[in-house]
Amino acid sequence: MSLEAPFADLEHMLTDVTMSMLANVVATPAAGADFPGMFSEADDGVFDAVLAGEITLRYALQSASLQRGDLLTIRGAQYRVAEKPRRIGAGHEAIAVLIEVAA
Amino acid sequence: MSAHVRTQVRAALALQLESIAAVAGRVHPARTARFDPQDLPCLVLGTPSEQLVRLGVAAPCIYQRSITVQVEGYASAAPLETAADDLSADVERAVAAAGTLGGLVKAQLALAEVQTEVDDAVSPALAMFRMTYLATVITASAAPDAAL
Repeated sequence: MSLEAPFADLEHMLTDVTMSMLANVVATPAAGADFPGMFSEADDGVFDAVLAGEITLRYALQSASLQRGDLLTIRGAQYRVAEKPRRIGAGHEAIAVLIEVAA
Repeated sequence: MSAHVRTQVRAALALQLESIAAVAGRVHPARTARFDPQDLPCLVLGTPSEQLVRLGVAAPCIYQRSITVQVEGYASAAPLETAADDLSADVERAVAAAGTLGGLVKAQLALAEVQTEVDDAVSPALAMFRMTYLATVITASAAPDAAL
């Protein structure tokens, strides 16, 4: 009897559904096609002393392949990918930390 | 009653550090709420610890207090580490020029350690340094507000 992993297909589908339902931005990379993502811009205490913004973009890996240094335009502002995006969950999605690029 | 000598040391040092043009009006003699990036560069002073040694056997006790004085600096200008180094160099010069803080401390504050950190994964990118100085103050046990 062969073993099955019934949640694998569901998980792929859930990633697609989650992104289609919860994406709040469309990101435009300097090269490549636009893709949807979940954008977050939250202030945090850096060095426990200064409030600075931690900007992240969660996206489906099948829709984009981001690398450190890539440029994105989101809501008219330009951002640079600060470091290699971290895969999350089963590896269908990733979170990229973004740095706002001065206009 | 005057303030504790720790408070006096921070206040006197803050006054000296105000001479640094880059942080004029942005020297804080004690920890405050978190800063907005537009408030940088700035300096924050702290006296997180002190060691006391009793001098002689006279009553009341006479204490030699070795006070740890920390000067923390925050900057967001690029290049970050250079900005932190430049500002910490200004602090070193200002502290050296401060001498004994008008007789409050027994000798010029001695720099013991410098730590620098950079976080370039936030907006704006930030640098901080923490300079640890040692200050020696002598007081009587009943008068921690009066340097002898």
